[in-house]
Amino acid sequence: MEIFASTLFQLSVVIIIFLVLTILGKVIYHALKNKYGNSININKLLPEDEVHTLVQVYYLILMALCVVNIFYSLVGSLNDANYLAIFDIALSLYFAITLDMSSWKNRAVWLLLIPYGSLAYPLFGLSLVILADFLHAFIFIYIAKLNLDKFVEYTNSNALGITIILLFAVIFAGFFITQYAEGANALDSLVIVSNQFTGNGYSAFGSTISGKLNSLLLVWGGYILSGVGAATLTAALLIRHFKKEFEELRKLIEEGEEE
Amino acid sequence: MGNEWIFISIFQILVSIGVFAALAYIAKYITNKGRLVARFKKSRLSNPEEYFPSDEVFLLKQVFYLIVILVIIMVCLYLFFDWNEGFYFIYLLDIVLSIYLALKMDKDSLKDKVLLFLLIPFGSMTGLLFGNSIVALLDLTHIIGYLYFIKVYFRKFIEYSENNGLGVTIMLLFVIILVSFLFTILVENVSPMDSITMVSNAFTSNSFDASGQNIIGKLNSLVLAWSGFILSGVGTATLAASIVNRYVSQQFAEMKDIVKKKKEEE
Repeated sequence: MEIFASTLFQLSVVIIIFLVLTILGKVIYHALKNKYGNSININKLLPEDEVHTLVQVYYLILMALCVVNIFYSLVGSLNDANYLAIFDIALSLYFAITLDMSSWKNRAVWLLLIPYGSLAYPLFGLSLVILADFLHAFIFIYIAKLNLDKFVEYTNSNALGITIILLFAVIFAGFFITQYAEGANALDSLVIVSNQFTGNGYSAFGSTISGKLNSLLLVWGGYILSGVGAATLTAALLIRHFKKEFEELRKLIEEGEEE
Repeated sequence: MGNEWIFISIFQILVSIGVFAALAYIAKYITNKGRLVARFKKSRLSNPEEYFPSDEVFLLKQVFYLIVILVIIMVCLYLFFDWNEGFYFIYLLDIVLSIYLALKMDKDSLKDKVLLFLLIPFGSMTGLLFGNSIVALLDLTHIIGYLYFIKVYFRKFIEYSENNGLGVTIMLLFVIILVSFLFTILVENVSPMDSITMVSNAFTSNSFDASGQNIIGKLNSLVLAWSGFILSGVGTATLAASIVNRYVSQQFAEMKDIVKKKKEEE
């Protein structure tokens, strides 16, 4: 009975903590959205096609993060338990914040999104609550499918290409193969794969976690912006040429009108 | 007792031929009749033009013939010289390459049948099945078979380029890679796998390192480096093309309106 009571207590604590975090997150999210949402226009910063590609990438990244989370929930080692717990909590919190809580179905999804194991482990150590993590892991299959559907819908409704799937498949497969072949942990593997893909060498640069995250941001930022820069420059050169040609053509037609 | 090795060798040769034929048959069956493969072939995901612009697809097909040539050269080097590295990987690569070439070739004439026999990777087969064996000496004939296929695939490359009116600029890239590949083996005293990894890394701005702790890591780094190189070019080009395309379409639409108005006024 004591175990039952303590498990129930731990479960309630975990649920309350996650509820508080979700409410806080929603408040901050809406406040930020209201303050900056209208002033930042992504279409002014990047060409429209690049924005489409980035939206596609966004759905694929969310899907991949879900798969990675399921993978580590089932086979993660205790050595990395703290990092994996932080990752799980952050990911669950993100989905919980962006979840529309008006329907009963989504409220049930929220209940399963609570990272029982990841919150209970640092607070109470190993306990029965961790068993609830199996349900939590499986809800990510649903979320992954949801994001895949969104990707397909977005791709079809905007008549976009699927080249990005190829890029993503290479990175995703490389991420797991590197962990096996180089004996690297998840973050190092992601950094190695990103560096090699973007022409920065097959190494995990950065001596701390934040340094590695910074290097990730830099290599992908550089990769995307170098492509955008080269493409817009090419386009600008061609457009200048065409502009001249079109002006001449327009003049010819208008002169024809006068005659 | 003295002639026992002859019987053992004959047994090993026959087993190698049998296993090779069985593997080739299975590969043919899977590619022709496998349900999953058939479904994949019909799906949007298997169409290269969904991923790349058609010009890039032509280019990649050209590159494919050249890659086959490069892989053949690499396997020949491994079979002829002794590099203590990833034996099983080289055996597997040799067998897979031989099966691929065997499936793609004609088998009608006597010459084709001789070539098919030369394609059987006796050394790799016996290496995998029985360990070290004297049968591996037959690899010399296998190398001759491979050298012939270098010629075949180079001819296919030229034919494909001419039929589709393509340039051979890609040859320049290939020659740089091939010459540097051989040069690096000699100068840096590294194995072919290390050499191709170093050359690819340097070419794609990834430093002049044989990255990866083992064969799988090296293959992984190769795929990543070249995918990044190709996809970055494709992404940039398609983005540039679509921006220009949108501008030009808009201008043409305006021109059409002007001409239409003019006609109506007349």
